[in-house]
Amino acid sequence: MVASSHTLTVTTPSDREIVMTRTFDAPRGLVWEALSKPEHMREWWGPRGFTMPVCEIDLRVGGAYRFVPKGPDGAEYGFRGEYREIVPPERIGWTFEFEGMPGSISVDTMTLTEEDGKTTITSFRLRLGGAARRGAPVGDGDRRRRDLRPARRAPGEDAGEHRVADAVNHSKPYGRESDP
Amino acid sequence: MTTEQLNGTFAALADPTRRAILARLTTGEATVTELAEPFAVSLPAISKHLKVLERAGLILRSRDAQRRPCRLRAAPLGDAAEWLVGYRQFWEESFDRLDTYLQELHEREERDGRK
Repeated sequence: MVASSHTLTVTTPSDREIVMTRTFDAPRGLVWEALSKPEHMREWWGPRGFTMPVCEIDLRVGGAYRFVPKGPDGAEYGFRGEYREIVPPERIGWTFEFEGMPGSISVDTMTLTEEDGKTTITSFRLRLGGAARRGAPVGDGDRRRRDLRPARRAPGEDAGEHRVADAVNHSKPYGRESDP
Repeated sequence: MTTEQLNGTFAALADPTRRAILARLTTGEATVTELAEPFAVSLPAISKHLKVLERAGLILRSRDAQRRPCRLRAAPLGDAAEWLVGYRQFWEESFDRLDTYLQELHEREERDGRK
C-alpha cells in the first residue's frame, strides 16, 4: 500500500484552542462511519500499538461515549464525554475528558469536507479548563474559564473543585472502573 | 515526542498522588519530605512518584544533593504548547492509523461492491 503524504497540521489560535486538519483519501461518508461507529473507532483511535478493549458510543446529542485505549505495556487510559452535535456526515462534536485528569475538559468539533473524493477533517478543540488550574502542568487558563463554560455542564465538571483534596485522600489511579 | 514519552506523560498524570504532588508544586518548590507530608505513604513511595514525574518531564529536581528540592518544569512554550504535549502525538498517530484503516475499508467496499 502506498503511504499517504497527508500530514497533520496543528495551529493554536489561542491558549485554549487547538485546530488540527488532516486530509484522507476517502469519501466523506466513509470517514463519517469511521468517526461515529465503535466497530470502526476501536480500529484506529489511539497511538500506534494501542488496542481499544472498551469503546462505547451512544450516538445521539447528550449521549455518552467512553474509550479505553490500552497501551502495548498493558496500561489502560480512560477517556469519556458526551456528544454535543451530530450532523451526518458533516460535523460531530463532543466533550472530551481524560479520566486520568478528571475535570480537565475540552469541547471538540470535527468538521468533514469532501473535495475530489478526498475528505479533510478539521478538528477544533476548546479547552474549558478544570483540573489544570489545580496544578496539573498542562496550563492554567483559569481567568476566562467561567465565561467559556457551556450552559450545560460537562460530565464531571461540577466535581472539579474538590479534585485535589480527593486526590490526596485516594491514592488509587483513576478511582473508577479501571481500578483492578 | 515518542509514543513511549507520551505513555509516560499519560501514566504520570493518571495517578492521583502524582497529580496532588504537581498541585503542591504550583505553590513553589518543595523537598521530598515536604511533599510526602500530606500523604499516608512512605518517603520511598513518594520518591518513586517523583521519579515517574521527572522521567515524564513534568518536574525538575535540583542537583543539591542534600535537599534535592523539586519544582515544576518551567513552561517556556506557554500554555497552549504545554496543553499540546501528548495530544499532538496522540492525534498524529491516531490519524495515521485512521488513514490506513480507511484505505482498508475503501478497498473492502470496492471489492464487495464489485462482486
